Amino acid sequence: MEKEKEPPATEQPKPIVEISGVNKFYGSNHVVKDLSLVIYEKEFLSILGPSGCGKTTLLRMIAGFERQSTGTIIVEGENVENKEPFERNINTVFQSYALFPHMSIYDNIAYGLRMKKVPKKEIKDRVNKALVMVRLEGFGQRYPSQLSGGQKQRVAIARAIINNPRVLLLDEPLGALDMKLRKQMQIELKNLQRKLGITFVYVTHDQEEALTMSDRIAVMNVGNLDQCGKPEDVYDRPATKFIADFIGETNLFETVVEEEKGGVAYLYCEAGDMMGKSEGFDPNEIVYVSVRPEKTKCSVKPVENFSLGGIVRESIYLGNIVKTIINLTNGQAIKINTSVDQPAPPVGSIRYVYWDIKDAVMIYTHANDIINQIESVGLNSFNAAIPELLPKEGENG
Amino acid sequence: MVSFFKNPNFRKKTVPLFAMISPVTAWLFLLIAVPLIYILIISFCSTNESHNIVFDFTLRNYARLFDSTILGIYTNSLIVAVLTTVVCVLIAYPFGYIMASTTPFRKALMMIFLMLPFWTNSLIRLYSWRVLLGRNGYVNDFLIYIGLIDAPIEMMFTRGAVILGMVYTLLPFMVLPIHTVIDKLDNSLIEASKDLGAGFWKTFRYITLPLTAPGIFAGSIMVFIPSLGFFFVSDLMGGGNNQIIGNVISRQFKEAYNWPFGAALSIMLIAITLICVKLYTKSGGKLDELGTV
Amino acid sequence: MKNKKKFNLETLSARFFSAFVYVFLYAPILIVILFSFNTSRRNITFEGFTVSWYGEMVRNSGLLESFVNTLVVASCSTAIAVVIGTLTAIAMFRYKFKGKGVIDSLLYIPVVIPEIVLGISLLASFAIASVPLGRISLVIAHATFSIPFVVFTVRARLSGYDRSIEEAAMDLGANRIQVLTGITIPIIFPGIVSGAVLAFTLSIDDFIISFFTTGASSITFPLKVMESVRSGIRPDVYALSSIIMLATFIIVIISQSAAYRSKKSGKD
Repeated sequence: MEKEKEPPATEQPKPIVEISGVNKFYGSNHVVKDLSLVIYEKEFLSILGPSGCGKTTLLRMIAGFERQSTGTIIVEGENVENKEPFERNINTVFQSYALFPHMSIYDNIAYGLRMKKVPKKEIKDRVNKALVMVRLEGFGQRYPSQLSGGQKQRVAIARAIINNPRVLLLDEPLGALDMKLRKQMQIELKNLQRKLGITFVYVTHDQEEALTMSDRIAVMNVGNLDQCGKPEDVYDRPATKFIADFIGETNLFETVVEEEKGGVAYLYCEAGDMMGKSEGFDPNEIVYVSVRPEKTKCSVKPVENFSLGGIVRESIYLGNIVKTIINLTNGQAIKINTSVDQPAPPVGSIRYVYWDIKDAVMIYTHANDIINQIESVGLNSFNAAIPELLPKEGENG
Repeated sequence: MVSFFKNPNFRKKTVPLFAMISPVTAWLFLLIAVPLIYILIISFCSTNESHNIVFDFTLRNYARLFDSTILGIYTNSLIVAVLTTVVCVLIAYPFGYIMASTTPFRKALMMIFLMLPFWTNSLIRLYSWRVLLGRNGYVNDFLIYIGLIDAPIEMMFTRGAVILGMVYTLLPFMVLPIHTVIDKLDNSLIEASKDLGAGFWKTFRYITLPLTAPGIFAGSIMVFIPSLGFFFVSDLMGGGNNQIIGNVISRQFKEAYNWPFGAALSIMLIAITLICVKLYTKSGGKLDELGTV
Repeated sequence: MKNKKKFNLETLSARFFSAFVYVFLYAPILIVILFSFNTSRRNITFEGFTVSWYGEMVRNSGLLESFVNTLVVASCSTAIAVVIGTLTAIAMFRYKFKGKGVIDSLLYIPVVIPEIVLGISLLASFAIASVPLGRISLVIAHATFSIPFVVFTVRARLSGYDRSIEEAAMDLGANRIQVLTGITIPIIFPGIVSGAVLAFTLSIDDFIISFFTTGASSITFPLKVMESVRSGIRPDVYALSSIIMLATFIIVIISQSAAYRSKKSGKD
């Protein structure tokens, strides 16, 4: 697990939410595992992970709907352990929007201010301003059932930000929208966040969305925080096999280190030999190598130190690129993206896969796995977990 | 260590939950669970001369269920219940189908007028069938007028009249679930079947009927079970000649004061109910579809 | 299930069939209304028109008493059922807890078992607890079969919403009481109303359970009807029934058309 290190680009960012050592159990189900994360002022942080990874639970703990089993959550320097959701200066945009069906749009947006007993006149001004901000002028007297999905979404956002929260939590807010509207709302949300200068904590399972919008991405997997960093770090230097696989497309090889010489690691796998970056591996150490399809190449003759031969299975034209699928001798399908102007290898021909050493991302497994396993199973069941310590396919990296 | 009562979880969840759920729990236990267990217990007891329950253990009450008179009543009751259910299905299926294929406004209208009688006194409505079906009643008059019969026929106080009364009281309970399933039926399935060469009857037999069977099943339970116990229907329409299980139970509690025997009869009725419901849920039916009136 | 191309024959037979069903359902009701204007005191044939039974009805103290008793019992049992049933529905919507399944299946018992079994078991429990049979036992008995119906209608209303709606209110600064009064109750209000209407009409019409759980001192209208069957029902009973039916029809049609309109406008 990578430790928290990179604050957003602004100088001297101030932490606003500090999560340390948080665990959450539902019965015997360990859904959030010893998670520590610092969220800074004015940043757009995405919590990314597949469904069931604990990201929504984490968000709900920050909001106060769930209480962590152990660990602390500090908001603006104050431990919020015993604070109810209505006592926290944090607002949430729900996945299902959760608009009050029996209230007009105006009343929905005014709700938070009314609860705070803000004077009527001020409520009116602020609600109208909020309606303008989300481009819903003139919709105040309508009811939620009369709005489209995108409009409901905007109301949900307006209803939350009108309270000037320090942190806005968004739980897959675009999940129910269609692709086109989604893209448009992504840009709108990002602009809104910049304009308001509020911290956005954005939960999503869509890696593309996270890459587009975020200042930083926290990737979660089965309750663990696997990596937290800038989008380009997460994409180019995935810390675990899971992240390499989950974010973007990749070709992943489970390899064994033969030796390291002159800054180059010589590796082999079931399908043949290859090279990667030298990062101080021991001989016979098991290492995952991840190479993005756009960085993967193929040739008619084997390149020196590579012996990944295969048959070209398919060549798919995708408009801007051509995707070539090569089946290696062990059956693994390798994806290669090339520009359309380059000639695609004919289907059925034999090609050899290779790459530049700098493009191979080396992912530790052995050491990583043991640490992760011990952390994830806890010490009580340590004995039971020993057989699983050996790395294998499908295991969390 | 924080005290149990100061635990936020206790304050946030346990207290409101307890406050909201304890009235219903107490109510259901004291007025449903305990009485039913009591009925089960006394069904194994006997009575003394002054009709008080003697808490001993006997199977005599259950043995009495096999008396020929009781068996006769059981048989009659089952015949009435089965025929009622069949007649209800035969009326409710086309009716539900018609309701499902009309405009939403008409559908709502048909629904309201189906349910309206159900919300008014059923005894008085049943009683007025006497005026219609009696020897000098309008139905006899009509049949003589059109020349179908020469002399008035006896329609009241027959098994047929009891079944008619049952159908009359229970029909909405059959229409509702059947209509719901027909309404939900995807028309493209019917079209697909016709597209694949099946005619109206084959489509009905292999597509419509199997898909709407759960509604028929739910409706049948809601009709069959009550028609075993609706003793007032048999009183009003059968005039004492066509007794059902409900009449016998009612007599044990209100006239004969033989509660243990009445309890044994009730346990039989509960057993029949449980079997029906079990069959229903086993075939994929949902309990909440029985609770929606 | 809409099919625009319909043969006339099909439409015609559908119309004929529906008409038949409605005649079947409404003929006895028309008889009740017609015979409430009958000059003959024996309700066998219609002999002449009079409104005198509507005057007679008011003077029949036993009849009126039973009617008032019915209304009192229905109101009290409905009030109890609404409070307990609504709380139950909200709790079951909000929380997962041990014994939820038990409560759920206990709720289905009064709906599924024959009324007569519920009636005798209530009678037995009043006997054990030595509760005298009368108004109080009647109210308790009616509330018992009404509670599940209120729970079901309120729960049906809630099932369209997910929990986040209450959480959203809390997130915006509403405390638990404000959430309950400002969000939850207004949303489920239509469910509460239809549950209450259902409980009330079930109570007014109930014969079987009342038959077992009341004493001579506290007769309800359906019991009064049954009692007068032996001597033949007099037209004044028909007169009162006609008035009750008319009132029920008006209430149901108003509430249903309101429900239909709100459903149509999409404010569901």
